[in-house]
Amino acid sequence: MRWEVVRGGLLACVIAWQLVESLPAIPTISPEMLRRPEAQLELSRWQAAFGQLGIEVQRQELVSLARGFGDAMHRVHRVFDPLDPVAELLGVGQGWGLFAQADDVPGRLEIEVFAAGGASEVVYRRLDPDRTWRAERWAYRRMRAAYDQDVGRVASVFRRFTEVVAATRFAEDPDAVRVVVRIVPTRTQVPGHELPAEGRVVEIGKDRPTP
Amino acid sequence: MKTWLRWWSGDEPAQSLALVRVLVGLAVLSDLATMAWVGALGPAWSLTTSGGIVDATRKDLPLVAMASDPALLLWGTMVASALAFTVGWGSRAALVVFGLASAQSALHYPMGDRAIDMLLRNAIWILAASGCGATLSLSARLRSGTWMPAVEVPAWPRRLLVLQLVVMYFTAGVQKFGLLWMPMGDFAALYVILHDWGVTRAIPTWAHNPVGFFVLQLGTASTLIWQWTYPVVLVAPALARQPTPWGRWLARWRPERAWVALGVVFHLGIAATLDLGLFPWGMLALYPALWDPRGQATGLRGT
Repeated sequence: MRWEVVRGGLLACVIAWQLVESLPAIPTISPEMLRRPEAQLELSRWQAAFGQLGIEVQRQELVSLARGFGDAMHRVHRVFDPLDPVAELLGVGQGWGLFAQADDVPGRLEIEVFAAGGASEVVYRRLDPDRTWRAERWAYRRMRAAYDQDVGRVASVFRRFTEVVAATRFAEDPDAVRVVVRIVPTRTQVPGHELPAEGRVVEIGKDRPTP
Repeated sequence: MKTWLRWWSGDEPAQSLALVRVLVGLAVLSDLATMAWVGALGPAWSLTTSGGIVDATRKDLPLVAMASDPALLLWGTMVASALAFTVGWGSRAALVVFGLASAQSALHYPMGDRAIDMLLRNAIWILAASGCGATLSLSARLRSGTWMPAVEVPAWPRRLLVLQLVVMYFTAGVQKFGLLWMPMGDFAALYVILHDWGVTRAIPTWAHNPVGFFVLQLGTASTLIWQWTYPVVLVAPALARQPTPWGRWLARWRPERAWVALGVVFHLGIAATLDLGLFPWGMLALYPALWDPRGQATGLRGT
């Protein structure tokens, strides 16, 4: 019976810890984040949604509400901060914000190769059956992580991804002198909704290193 | 207090946990094999000095610090340990080694560590504390002369895995705060996700008409309702033990099975339409935990 009590107590502690970890962890909303078109569109949608319910809400009020909720969650999460080294060692956690926001301005990966004479060719474009150079490699989930996110936030890893792509191409194609990797934003129009604002193209070029 | 202790007490046949062990092993082995097959091992886990995308790693990670290029060492350790626990040879030790190596890969290249990796690590640690290697394993064959001896093991790890699934689905549901998941956003989330170049297998031109769009709206609403109500998988079996008409109805019809079946459909649908790699298969690998090997019910049924 004594072991059962110890086990029950240990399980209670672990479950309490992990339940707190599972509470939403909302990132701090910065002014820069708010300036992004997708954030503005989401705020407009929420404003319209409240409007349909007859509640008039200002954008600033919505932002304050989200900030207040986020701060409260951060305070709860901090209770178990001393256990962070354990979580790190074991690699455990409970952040399950899976597709919490659907991205209606998704980026499409494209790789363009320039030859010495100036001619260029798009050798890879996501889901383009005619541009498939190393398609499986770039689509593999751990590689996709380097470019299929908020590229503004992950600029450094996107730069390193470009270097990997360029090095691969230079090794395979002696004529290639420059490789450009870009994320081309597209807009998904939901039937009956307004077209989202245009995103910006993010691209990085890499020249063949001189011997 | 007594109810709490009763929930976690008792033994049960080891098949469910053994099956989770084998399926998780096959899922991660398939992912690691894909990583090598498509040539992503070096690019994803090597340092920039060796042609990879990891620019600065942590020197306090033993597996990473041991080699000038840690990609092969991390990968090899994970493959060897996953092979060992999949066939059930020294399962507990192999699960511990895999868990630690996987955690180090997450710290080495955090961006490449996805939610499914963390979920499977959570499961790995639970399995490591369980008797999942007692059957359906090489160890069992060597010990008892049969691959599947009838062995009973503590039931609490399987119940903890069920709780993990419930927490995962439920909190994934409540965190879907993007308006496109909601009636005010016309339940358009799946339509939008299927147009996301990074994850879709094909742009769903079949949905570019009212009927196709409606099907995806239905899918969005169903996903949200299913995730929000997933705790049924825990609650229904518990209530089914009550000697009330409601309890008898739950015991007879076992509605939680519908949530489990929907989960299978949901993940197979994801596998067919979205290119998420390990995610759907890793999730389905945990589903045998929802099977009570005594055949009574799913969920946290106490003994």
